[in-house]
Amino acid sequence: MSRVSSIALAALVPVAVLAAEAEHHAPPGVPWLKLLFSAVNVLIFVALLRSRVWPALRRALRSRRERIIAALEQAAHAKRESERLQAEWRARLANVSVELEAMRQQARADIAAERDQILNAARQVAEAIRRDARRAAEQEVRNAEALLRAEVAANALAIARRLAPQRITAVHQREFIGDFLHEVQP
Amino acid sequence: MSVSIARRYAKAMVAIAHEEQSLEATRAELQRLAALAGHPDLGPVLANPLLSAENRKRLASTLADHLHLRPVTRNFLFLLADRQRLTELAAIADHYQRLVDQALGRVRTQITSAVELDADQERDLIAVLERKTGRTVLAERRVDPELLGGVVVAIEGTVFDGSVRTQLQRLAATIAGRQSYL
Repeated sequence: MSRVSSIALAALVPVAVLAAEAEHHAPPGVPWLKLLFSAVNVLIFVALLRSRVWPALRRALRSRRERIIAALEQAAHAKRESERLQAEWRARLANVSVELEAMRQQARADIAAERDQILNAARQVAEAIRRDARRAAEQEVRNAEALLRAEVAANALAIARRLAPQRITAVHQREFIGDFLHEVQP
Repeated sequence: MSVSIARRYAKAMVAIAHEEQSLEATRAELQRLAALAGHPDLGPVLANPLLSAENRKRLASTLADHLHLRPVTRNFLFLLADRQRLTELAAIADHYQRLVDQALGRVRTQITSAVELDADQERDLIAVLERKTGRTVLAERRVDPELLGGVVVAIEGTVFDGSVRTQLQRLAATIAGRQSYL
């Protein structure tokens, strides 16, 4: 509390005492002293209001006003933005059927191209597998044939070696020598 | 020792033996020496580098006495002992034999047959080989029943194979559809 207020209150106390005394002992009629005391009280109250309450109240009101102005500006900005988006989406919605059709056609074309690629790749893989399988089968057949031939040859050779000493006679030996001489002679 | 050194020793020996007209006798003595030098007991001794010169000469003298070598062959043996070439006796004898065969118009063959050839077959075979080579054929005969039949002739590194065994192997290779060396 400021010095002025303290002095005012200090001055008010004796006045209030005097006013009470006067009221006690006052003759009937207009209570001038009481009126004076009330007027002083009102003046002090008004002074206190003006010096203390009014500035704070003004600051609070000013601050509130500024907040309201800012909020209004934000609201206006948001409104403008929403109107812009609304207009944009309205425009888009107006063309959405066309865009959807274009997207569908593009999707169909992409799917068809991808399907063709997959089918071609699958055909190539299938052809490669068939080719490899055919080669493997042919190789297996060749191997089996070679194995069989080798086995037959080995058996034939073993039989011939076993039988030759019994079957080859001196006559055959002479024929062998004769054939050899015929081949070797110059 | 390299082949060329053995050949040089052999050529020198051929020249000496030719002067003495003892090509064949010297060949026989060198072959006997080579056979002895190849013996498993004697070979390592001849190849031993720790053998002193005196002991090598004494060993050569013992060999010469044992084989009753003629002076020319004996001296040649001493020369080899002196130059530490005793281990090369086999190569020298081999080269000598080839050189002598060339000089005398001969060729050595190895005739292997499944059974013993009779005189007519052998005569015919040698006659054919002589006509083919244009030289006198000196045949070494062998019998190998594994041939089953026919004959195999090896002559100067070439083999003429007329054996039944080889013909059967070729037949087996043909059946198998591939080259075979069974």
